[in-house]
Amino acid sequence: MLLRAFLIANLLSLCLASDIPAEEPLHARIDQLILAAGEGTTPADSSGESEFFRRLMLDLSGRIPTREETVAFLADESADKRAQAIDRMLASSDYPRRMQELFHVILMERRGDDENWLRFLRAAFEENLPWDRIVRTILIPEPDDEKFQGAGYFLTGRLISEGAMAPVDVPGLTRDVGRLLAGVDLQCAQCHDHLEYEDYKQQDFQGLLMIFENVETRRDVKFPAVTEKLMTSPQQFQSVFVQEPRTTEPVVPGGEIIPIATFPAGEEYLVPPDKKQRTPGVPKFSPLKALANGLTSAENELFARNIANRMWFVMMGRGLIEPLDLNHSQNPASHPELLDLLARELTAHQFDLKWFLRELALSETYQRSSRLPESDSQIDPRSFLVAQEKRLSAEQLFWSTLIATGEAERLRAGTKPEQAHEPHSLEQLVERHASLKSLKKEFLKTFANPPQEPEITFEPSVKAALYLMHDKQVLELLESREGNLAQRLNAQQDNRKLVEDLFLTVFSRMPEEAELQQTVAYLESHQSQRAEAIGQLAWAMLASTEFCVNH
Amino acid sequence: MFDETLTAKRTIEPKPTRTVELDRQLRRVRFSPCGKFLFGTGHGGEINRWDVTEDEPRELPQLKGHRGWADALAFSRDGQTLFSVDSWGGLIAWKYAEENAQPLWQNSEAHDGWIRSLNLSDDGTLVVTGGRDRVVRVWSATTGKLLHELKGHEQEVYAVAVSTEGSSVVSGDWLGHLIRWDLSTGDRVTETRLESLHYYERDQDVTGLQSLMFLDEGTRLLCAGSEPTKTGNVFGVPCLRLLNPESLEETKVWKFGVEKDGFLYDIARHSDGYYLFVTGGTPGAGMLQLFDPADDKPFFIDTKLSNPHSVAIHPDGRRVVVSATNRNSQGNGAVRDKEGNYLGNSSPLHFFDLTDKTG
Amino acid sequence: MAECQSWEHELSRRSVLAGLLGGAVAGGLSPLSPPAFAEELKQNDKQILLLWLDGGMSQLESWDPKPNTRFGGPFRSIPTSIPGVHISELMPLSAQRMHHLAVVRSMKTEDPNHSSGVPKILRGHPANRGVVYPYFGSAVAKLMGPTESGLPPYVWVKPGNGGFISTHAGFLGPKYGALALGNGKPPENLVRPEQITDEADLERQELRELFNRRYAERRRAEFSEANSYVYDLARTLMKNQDLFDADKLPEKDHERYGKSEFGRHTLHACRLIEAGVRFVQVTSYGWDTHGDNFNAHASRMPKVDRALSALIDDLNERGLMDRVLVVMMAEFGRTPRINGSVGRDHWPNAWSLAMTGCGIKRGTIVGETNAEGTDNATEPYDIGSLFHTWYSAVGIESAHAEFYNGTQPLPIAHDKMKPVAELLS
Repeated sequence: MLLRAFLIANLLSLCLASDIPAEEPLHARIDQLILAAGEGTTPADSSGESEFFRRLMLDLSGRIPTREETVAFLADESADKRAQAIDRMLASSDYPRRMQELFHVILMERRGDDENWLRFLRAAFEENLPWDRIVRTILIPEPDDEKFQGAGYFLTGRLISEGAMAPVDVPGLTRDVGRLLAGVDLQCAQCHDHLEYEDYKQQDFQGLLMIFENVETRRDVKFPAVTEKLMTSPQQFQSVFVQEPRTTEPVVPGGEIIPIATFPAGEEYLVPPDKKQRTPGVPKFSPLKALANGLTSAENELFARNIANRMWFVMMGRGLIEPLDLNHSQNPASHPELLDLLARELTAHQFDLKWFLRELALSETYQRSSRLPESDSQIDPRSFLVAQEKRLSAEQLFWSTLIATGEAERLRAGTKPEQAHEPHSLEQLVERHASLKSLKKEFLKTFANPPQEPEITFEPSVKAALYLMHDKQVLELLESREGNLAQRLNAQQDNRKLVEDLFLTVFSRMPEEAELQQTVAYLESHQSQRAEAIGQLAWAMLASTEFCVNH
Repeated sequence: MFDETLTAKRTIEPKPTRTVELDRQLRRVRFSPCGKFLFGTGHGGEINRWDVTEDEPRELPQLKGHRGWADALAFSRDGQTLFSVDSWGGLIAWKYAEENAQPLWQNSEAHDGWIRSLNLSDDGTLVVTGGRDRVVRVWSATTGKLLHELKGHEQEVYAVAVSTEGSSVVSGDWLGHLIRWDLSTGDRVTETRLESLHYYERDQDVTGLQSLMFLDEGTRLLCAGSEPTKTGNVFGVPCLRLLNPESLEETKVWKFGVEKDGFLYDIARHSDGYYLFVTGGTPGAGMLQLFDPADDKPFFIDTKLSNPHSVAIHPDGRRVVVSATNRNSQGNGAVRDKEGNYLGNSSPLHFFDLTDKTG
Repeated sequence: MAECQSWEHELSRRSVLAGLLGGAVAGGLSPLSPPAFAEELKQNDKQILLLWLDGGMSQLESWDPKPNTRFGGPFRSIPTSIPGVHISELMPLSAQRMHHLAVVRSMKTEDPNHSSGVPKILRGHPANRGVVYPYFGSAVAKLMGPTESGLPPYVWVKPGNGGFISTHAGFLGPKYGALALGNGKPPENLVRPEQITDEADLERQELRELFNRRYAERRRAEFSEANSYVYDLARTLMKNQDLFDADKLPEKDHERYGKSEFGRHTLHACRLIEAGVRFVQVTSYGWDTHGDNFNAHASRMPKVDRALSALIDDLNERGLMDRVLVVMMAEFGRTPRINGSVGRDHWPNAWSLAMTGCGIKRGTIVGETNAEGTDNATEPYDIGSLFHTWYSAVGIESAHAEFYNGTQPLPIAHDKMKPVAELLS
């Protein structure tokens, strides 16, 4: 197993690695490694208060801050207010929603929704389930725990036939397990050893494939679940180049070969299948269970490196290894020691993602400005000495639009008195208002990628431009209605205050003096059509780059 | 036709007797009125001929002269002449009983292109044809002289029928446009459009019209075909429609199956007043049905046939032949035999005896 | 074998700017400039119009009839304007214009299935390089960019829904996808609500640009430029709104092209080409005639015949023949043997396609099939050879030109194949 050899080499490099004192918190060690690697380059400044706050909010809460939240943060004079904000957001009910949305997109890549699955993700992040546990829950059916019943959708959602001409794509599922859970895209090793990456062997693919070829979707239950058939013989395969028949037993990416355990006839099952009840049997030998355990084992470096790299990508806007799913010896991390450190620490902290995200957020690296240093506009983005701009997901954009236009506020204010005592989370607002439901659907349709295309890069589209320009529902958000932004601004006679409010609400920052003057001048030149001018400004801000990226 | 005494016949069943395998595909099969011959028009333009005086059919030399597909067939009243048409516009009258039958007369340009339908007047004097050139023509059965040319259809004519007394003709095109013509003047007497005979989707017209025939001294008009529901891999519900021959309005519709059953391709009337017809749809599917119009449903259905296209009843009222298709006639790419020859399909001839199961 | 691809690889290596501005910037054009019309376009600024008959048109009922043979079917063949060349009687108008066309009668491709065959043919079936190749339109959009009109380089006129179809672009990235006009209708949200005047729209766009410029200070330019580009393109589309609405075309043109879906869409495509769209594809669905093949072709072919002929006439009349390459094809032909449903099945073994226009030696018939049409009698051509031919016809050196997937150079057409010399003028 070459993958294994590659990992051992990595472990060796670890032993030789830095002499940073172990007691330093992870975020400090991140910064030391980043700065050490970028020696000689001047890093970007630390982000401004509002820049940091908006970024953090988008990353951990999945939305921009409300004007009140921004104002409060800016007014806060405590020295550790950034750390406090991080902790507050990680504890907030926005956090599990954001993680649910994030991991839904990462893991399902817009293949579709499933109520049970979304409930599982929500519960997993509400309880801060460790990542290894989440993955085990995804791979090993746990039908008895209702909260986690939906986890099987990761598999069943990929075992759906799209009609007679498109058979169930088991190789596709196999590939996704490798890509998303181990950071290795073995697709090109399906038919032969990978031509360019010597780590990726056909046996790795075939050994993983056979595990999923042995899986069936359960039809006897209402939630997404799979069952396994009996596996009795090795997988046969041959390379399209070297036509020699070969065999393999199941293989765990980054782990061991699983020997097939056989039992005498009649004793293969823990629970035999029941044809009458139409319940599938539970074989004694479960390759899926062996995979789940092997993959999530603390010894499996691929597993730890994948999630560390992916979370780094989420927060920092670029992976230490890119592409995220091509982790192999010929594609080293930009900061090898750092990735090793992150993987090791995350493993040592039992794959506690909340802890990990907190450490990343606390780092200076995360908190740098996305504005290039004045002295060095050519700074290499791979240095992480300047913050990366990140694509806003369709969900982030939707929630942020509701907040920026005051639509959320307007609907909250309009809640009936008898419901007033209830908390009104954003998702509850959507539940209650059909108009928001349809708006959310349209946002997802417009801003999300097509199914099965990872959402990695910023991809503005003409479709989205036309939508924001002309869609009736979008334009209505900017019309003055009781309790929304337009109404509040229209009521504000002081243009300076108006512009400050506008910037705080939409851009989550105060205007600079030049912007302030420019915008006030614009309003003054449109005195006779003030309401329209306010709407124009708000639209232009919503459609601008500043609003639609996380910077 | 709707005589209740027919009910006695509802115990009739076709019993398979033999199957004659062919190496070619047929369009239509018909027994000669004398009962000695079976004719089958072929994809190769040939008219195949069998001597059926014995139980075991004996193949005779083919009649050659058609081009494209040889298609519809009809016999003169005196039982001496066979009329046949082809897809290139040819119309031929044959002295069919002769060993080396020669055309009595022929017109290789009777129509411009495919002649879709051929019918004879009851008195046997008129031959009526309709085709792809959208024209209906009436010919002298004895001389082949063109007597009438009826123009007015805007699309291909799929079916023609001539009234019992020979004074009028009804024709229908693929849009479901039906016209009754007065032969003495050539005028259109009545016309109507039967929407359910036409389906249009994705640039394709599908017609549900296969054939028209007058019944009961011309007091009724039977329209066989389907109710088309899909283009491409064509779908439709086989059906029979009863029309008022004067107004051409639909008075009754029988449907025989579901969408995938396709077309009612061919129908034959038994002298006892009931009908045999074949339907064919998706590959491998097909039915032979026995139907009394006094009922809502057929009294017998055979579903074992693979894509039958034609059915004929022997003048003895006992023997029946169905031309069908070999199994597995569908296949993408090249289907080859062991020697690497490209394989065509064929039309096996299935013979039946109509027997009374009660007796 | 599934296609080898790495999405994340493709996406992460793809710079936003290269993806979004490559074409426009390379042409040095302003996307906001009004559409240039035929005579204003540079004489060597080639365009392509692809007529795609999805499901597989029968070669026997069109370009390669075998009348009066076992598998020939019911139809006659008719002489054409090229002495000695006959085509199906279902295409009388094309027969009169045969000297304007070039037909290949010996196509031999690999895949007899629609689901894999369609993308393979539309990608020119290059050798597997572990990436998803772009469809023809996306490839041309990348290789040639928009014309000076600034109109989107790849427009797809099709029945059903429209939208922005990024999947056609493969590894080139979403920008090179198709702008699909469903039923010839304009893209969604193209029409500005009445309450927003042109002036107001321009003003809010200027404000947006103002915010973008401020944002772009001391940031890499990509994000703001990408944002600006899509808004510019959106406005270009709006300014040409009438172009995206087939209903606005003159009645007499509709008559000439035929009032079928295909006729309407081909007319629309011709107008889009005239307005300067680089690559237009017209798709006609429903050609999968496993049942009732002959009645289906009797109904369909005359509609294609009429539209194709009107197109040839228009291109000739407007002097566009030397600038526009026209290709008409499907993912395969149909089997000689006739099945029990009176249909023909999928047939990649020996089928035909047609072309005309720039760079093509018109009045040419390349290749032939045997007497019953059951195999090629002369050298067969795979789709890769045709892609080389078509690229050559529009002036792209297909043997040398390369795509870049990140840093990985990729041949634009099958590297083991070359153009069909007989087809090139």
